[in-house]
Amino acid sequence: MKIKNNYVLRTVANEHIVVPIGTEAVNFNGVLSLNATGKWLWEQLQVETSLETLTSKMMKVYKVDQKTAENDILAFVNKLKQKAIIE
Amino acid sequence: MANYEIAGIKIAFDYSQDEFFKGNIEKYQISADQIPMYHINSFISDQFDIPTIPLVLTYQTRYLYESESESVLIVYDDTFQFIKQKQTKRKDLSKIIIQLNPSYLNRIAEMEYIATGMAFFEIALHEKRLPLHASAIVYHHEAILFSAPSKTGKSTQANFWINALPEAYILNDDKPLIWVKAEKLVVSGTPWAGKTIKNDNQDVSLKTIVFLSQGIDNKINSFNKKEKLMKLLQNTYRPGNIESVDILMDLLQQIVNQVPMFGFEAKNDPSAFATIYHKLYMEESYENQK
Repeated sequence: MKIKNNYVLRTVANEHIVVPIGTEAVNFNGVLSLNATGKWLWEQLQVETSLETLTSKMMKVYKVDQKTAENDILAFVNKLKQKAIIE
Repeated sequence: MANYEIAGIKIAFDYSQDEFFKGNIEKYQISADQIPMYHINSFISDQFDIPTIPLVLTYQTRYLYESESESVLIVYDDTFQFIKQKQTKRKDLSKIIIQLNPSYLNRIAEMEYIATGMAFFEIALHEKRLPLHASAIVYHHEAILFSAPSKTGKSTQANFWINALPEAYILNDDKPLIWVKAEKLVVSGTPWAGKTIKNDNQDVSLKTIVFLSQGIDNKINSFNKKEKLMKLLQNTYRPGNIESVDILMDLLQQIVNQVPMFGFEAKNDPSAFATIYHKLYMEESYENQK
């Protein structure tokens, strides 16, 4: 899984904001606001990544167990899937 | 084609329909010897050439073609019988050509006003001016912006102020520009000012932004920084490329940090004016909210 091209993540006023540009501005008519974990996941998903690899990374970075990491990742990914932002 | 200076941006602009521009745009005109960086040329013709550059996107009736140096947007009517509009833009926005089909008949003036406005606002953001969907009034040499989606009552609230305060006037009734001039955030009028066309060619200090919603009672709501940011994003122009995103975010950062903003659930009567006036000019704590 990987986030589509043409989404720009910027931090402004301490908020992490994702804005679609170019052709994706047609697909997604809005902006996303991410918390710190969401920002980290967003950055990891800029390249093709498997659930297993991402879970393993998250367990190390956030010192959480496998189930917690998987649940957090799937909740995030499912939201992006609903908006057709991830492929 | 005449030259104009709008919010400090020099453009050469040619329009075909007088309805929204004649008696409006002249106050922005500058002499022909001042060299503009941007050109917008709008005209009427039913002869449309289909671009030979690659088609990169189709969305409903819109077809976007792009090359390294230019983009062309073709908009068909709902039945794909004819082309309604063609916009050809150089990538650096130095030249934008808008061609409209006369089949629009009685709506063609409105379509030209909207299309040329969108072209100008893209240039404005490129030049670090933020178009905000708002009705802007000037009172005591400062701008107060009422921002909200269409049909919320922005112009209605602005008019309550104009009616109550003889010295108040409208700077722009639909999309004023916010930008940094001499290290201060200012608001400028433009000839593109919504259906009322009310605007003035001035740069005025920005006092506050009021995000409106319709209410049963008048109620002021405080916003945290995130809420301010999201409200601004909801009511501004959508950037088209990374460069514009960075310009937009830089402007938003400055506005969120420097400008008092709050939400206002407003009744549709003049009591709404009294509530905001009291908040802005009679509460001692207001200045501390900056």
